Amino acid sequence: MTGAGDMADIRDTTLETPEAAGGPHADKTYSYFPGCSLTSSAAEYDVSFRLVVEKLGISLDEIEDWNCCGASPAPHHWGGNLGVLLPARNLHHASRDALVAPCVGCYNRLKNSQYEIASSEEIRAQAERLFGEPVRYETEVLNLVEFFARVTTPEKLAGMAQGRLAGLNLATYYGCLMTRPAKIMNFDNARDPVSMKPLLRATGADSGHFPFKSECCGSYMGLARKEIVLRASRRIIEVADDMGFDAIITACPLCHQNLDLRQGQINSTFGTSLEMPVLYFSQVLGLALGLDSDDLGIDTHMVSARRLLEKIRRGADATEEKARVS
Amino acid sequence: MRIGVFVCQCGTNIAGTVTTDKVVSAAMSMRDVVHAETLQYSCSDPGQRQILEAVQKKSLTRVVLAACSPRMHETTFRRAVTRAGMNPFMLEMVNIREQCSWIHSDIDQATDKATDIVRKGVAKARKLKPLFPGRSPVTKRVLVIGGGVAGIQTALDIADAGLPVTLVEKSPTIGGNMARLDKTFPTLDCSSCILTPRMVEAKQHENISLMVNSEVEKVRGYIGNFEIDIRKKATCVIENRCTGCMICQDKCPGKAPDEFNAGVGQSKAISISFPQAVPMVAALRKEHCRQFIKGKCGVCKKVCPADAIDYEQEDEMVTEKFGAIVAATGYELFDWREAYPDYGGGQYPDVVTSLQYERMLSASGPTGGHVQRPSDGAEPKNVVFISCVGSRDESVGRPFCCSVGCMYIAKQAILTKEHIPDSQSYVFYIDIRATGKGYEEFTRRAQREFGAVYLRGRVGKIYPWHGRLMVMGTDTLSGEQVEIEADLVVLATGFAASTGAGELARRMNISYDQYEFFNESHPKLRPVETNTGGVFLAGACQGPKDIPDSVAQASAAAAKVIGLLSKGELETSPMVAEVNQTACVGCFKCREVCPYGAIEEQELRDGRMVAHVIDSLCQGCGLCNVACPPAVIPLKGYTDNQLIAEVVEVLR
Repeated sequence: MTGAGDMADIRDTTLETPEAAGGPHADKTYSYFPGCSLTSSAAEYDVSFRLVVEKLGISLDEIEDWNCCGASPAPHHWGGNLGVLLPARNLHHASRDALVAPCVGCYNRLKNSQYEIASSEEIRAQAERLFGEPVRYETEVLNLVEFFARVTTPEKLAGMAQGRLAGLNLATYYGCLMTRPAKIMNFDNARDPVSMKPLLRATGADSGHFPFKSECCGSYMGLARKEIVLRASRRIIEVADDMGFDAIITACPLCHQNLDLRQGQINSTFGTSLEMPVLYFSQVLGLALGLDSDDLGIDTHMVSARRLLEKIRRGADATEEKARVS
Repeated sequence: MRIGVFVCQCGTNIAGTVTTDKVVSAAMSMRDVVHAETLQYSCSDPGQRQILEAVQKKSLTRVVLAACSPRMHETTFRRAVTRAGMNPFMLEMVNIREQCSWIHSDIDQATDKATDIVRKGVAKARKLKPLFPGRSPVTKRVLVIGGGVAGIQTALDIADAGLPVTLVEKSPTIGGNMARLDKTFPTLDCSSCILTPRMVEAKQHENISLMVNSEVEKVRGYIGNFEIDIRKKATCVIENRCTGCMICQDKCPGKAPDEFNAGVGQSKAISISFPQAVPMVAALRKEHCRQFIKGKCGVCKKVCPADAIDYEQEDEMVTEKFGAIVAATGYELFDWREAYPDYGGGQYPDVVTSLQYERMLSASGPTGGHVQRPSDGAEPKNVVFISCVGSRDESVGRPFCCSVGCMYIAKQAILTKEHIPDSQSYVFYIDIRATGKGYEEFTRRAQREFGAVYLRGRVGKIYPWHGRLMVMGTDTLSGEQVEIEADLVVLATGFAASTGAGELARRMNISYDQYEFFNESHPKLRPVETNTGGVFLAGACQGPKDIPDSVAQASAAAAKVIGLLSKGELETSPMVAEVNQTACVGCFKCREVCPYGAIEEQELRDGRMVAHVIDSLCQGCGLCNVACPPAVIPLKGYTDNQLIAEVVEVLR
């Protein structure tokens, strides 16, 4: 975690004050729902998210005593309305204007739950029996990309990022959960999502068309039929590599697991030699804001991002050199 | 007053739901009704004869006919009562089919409703007055809008019949989309070999005057008497001086997109679209011209040996009178890029549209007929065709079939093999729709003789792969996922109405569908007419069509026009507005709302200025009727008294 000292650093190194970094809704307080992944296998996602949020001067309020988001085992194994009621309890306790859920699995369950509750009196009644009061479920649920687009603007971000990521070409990878099913998620264009682009471009990086941006990574098939994941993820990585991208950017811990953790397995299974860093959206923003890559947890990934970081460093050196000369 | 009521059974169309005998006996008890009977098919010859006999035998003075929509057969029945010696407007037709029997299932209720409808008709019939149609002279000149194959065919047919035709084309040459095609299916005729002579014929015909770079701006008047403003856009080239030597194009330093070649290759700011253009006259596009962008250049003016360049040229407005209009504005390709991000949304240079590929195949195209990949100029070996891009796809809001895709894919696959013998074509299709003469055989030939591999399924994604394109799709017959490494992907892009079609339709006051294709008056019986008298349709502006269908429709439209203009004068409808001038307050609200300019000021003997309807211009739309504050402009045949009598009966 960064403390007050880091905040002072920002003031020193950027022209903008953190307050000025805000978008139209920067002054709101947001409920934060980390979910299980961000406390375990994707801890670096949580760390990087909190760091960036802090740097932008936004206050978060973690939901007290939050519970499982109702991810697939709940509805699939236990049936009933468990997959709706578990997230409903989180919504009920959010009690804020808006809630941010960086894990898109959580985001998807929370929005599904809202949809089901809104359309079923029976579920509403069930929730009321369980919670002892009418369920509050209408909190606005935001995913990570949506959240950053809300609390800052590309112009503000660009001011703070000072083109640090110039020269990088980043493949935006949305996966499936963020936009589908379209009528429930009601976010971006499910066939051709583009919402990451404005903020990524604001970092100075390029973000060309990536045809596999919403292709399946193999999802949780990694446990039962690993070969499906390896085949699906291989193609995503291979195409990104072929198209000359420096990294794949995701907002989903499961996608990250399949693309990053299993990249070694892919290489040994198919005889490939892929080395494609897979970064969380928050980590990229962190790098753009000048945060340390180790602090952002980039060093915890299986695939080394050293070439990417090298590229950023070279860019920074060149800028410095230019400044010194002039 | 002696009213006769006839209740049509229309076979079981009406009698299936409405007990017509009951309606007849109810009618007999209505005031002034002296005769009522059922007719099995009132529009048939025996049916019409029964009406005629009853009118004469019972000395009927008014007839109420309960049958189908007046849009179907009102004219037929007006003629029938005329033969019996009645004024045709003493017939009142009420609709108990579309508005009753077809939409209800309960026999008793439908019968009651039919009875009410008849009662309402009788009430109106009681108030009818004889009306007498006027006559108006006919302008024996025809405007054809659009110079594609349909417009050319229509113009030539009409001109051959001796009528003067003005053929208006918005681009610098006639020929339309057909001029851009290499070969035509299923005969593999060279498209320009069959079209070019027709284009030249149109130009040379003594009865055809060609107006290129021109668009219809305003349409006034009515059938037989249209007055139309045409804008001739400035091209900075004096048409009758330009010899078509193309020196200006050779020397012009300003690059411009090549619209004729569908964006394959580049053109110049001043150019002639293609070597067989008609007229063979250059046109300058100001938005790409250095003279206009930078304010200096003047190369074309300097090099032109005919002194035909005039930078000061301005748009010219021409107003002419015509008796009939034929719309033949054709089609454009659906812009697939935004709708299909999965196919790269236009970001992969080697994914081209069918029309672009057509230009690549054409000997007169930018590559001289050598098929080359746009990305690197290499000759493609694996060519993948994807059918139904922007057609038969509800997810992009284009549910309709383009009607030619299956055929031109087969043609292009055959031509690909002819151009590049060691190439392999793959075709992803949904269904093969090959319904014309010789069409099915043609698609078989593409497969059997030219080795095109047909895969039944959609393509999900195209992505760049080691310098080629990977096409991911399904083969629904084998149930397998298919991946094909392609050098070139050709999208069989669907049809869209021409840009501005809807706007033009509004100017001509004709209706169009949600895709801006023009609506014919009746899908079966009036396929080239519109609901606006004197305006006809030819070709793909009415909906996707291939060349033979477009040409057939074009000749049909010509026949309709020739028939119309063979008359010296036209009968005008007497159902027009009429101002009660003693009660008119002279506010002229009516003149403001009249879309036909049919209202003029008239001075009464006491000096009051009042409104007056010019019968020959009034189309009986009724707008003035409702706009008139003191309500003193009745519409003949639909007067307030007549309508109120109907309403009173319905509410009884």
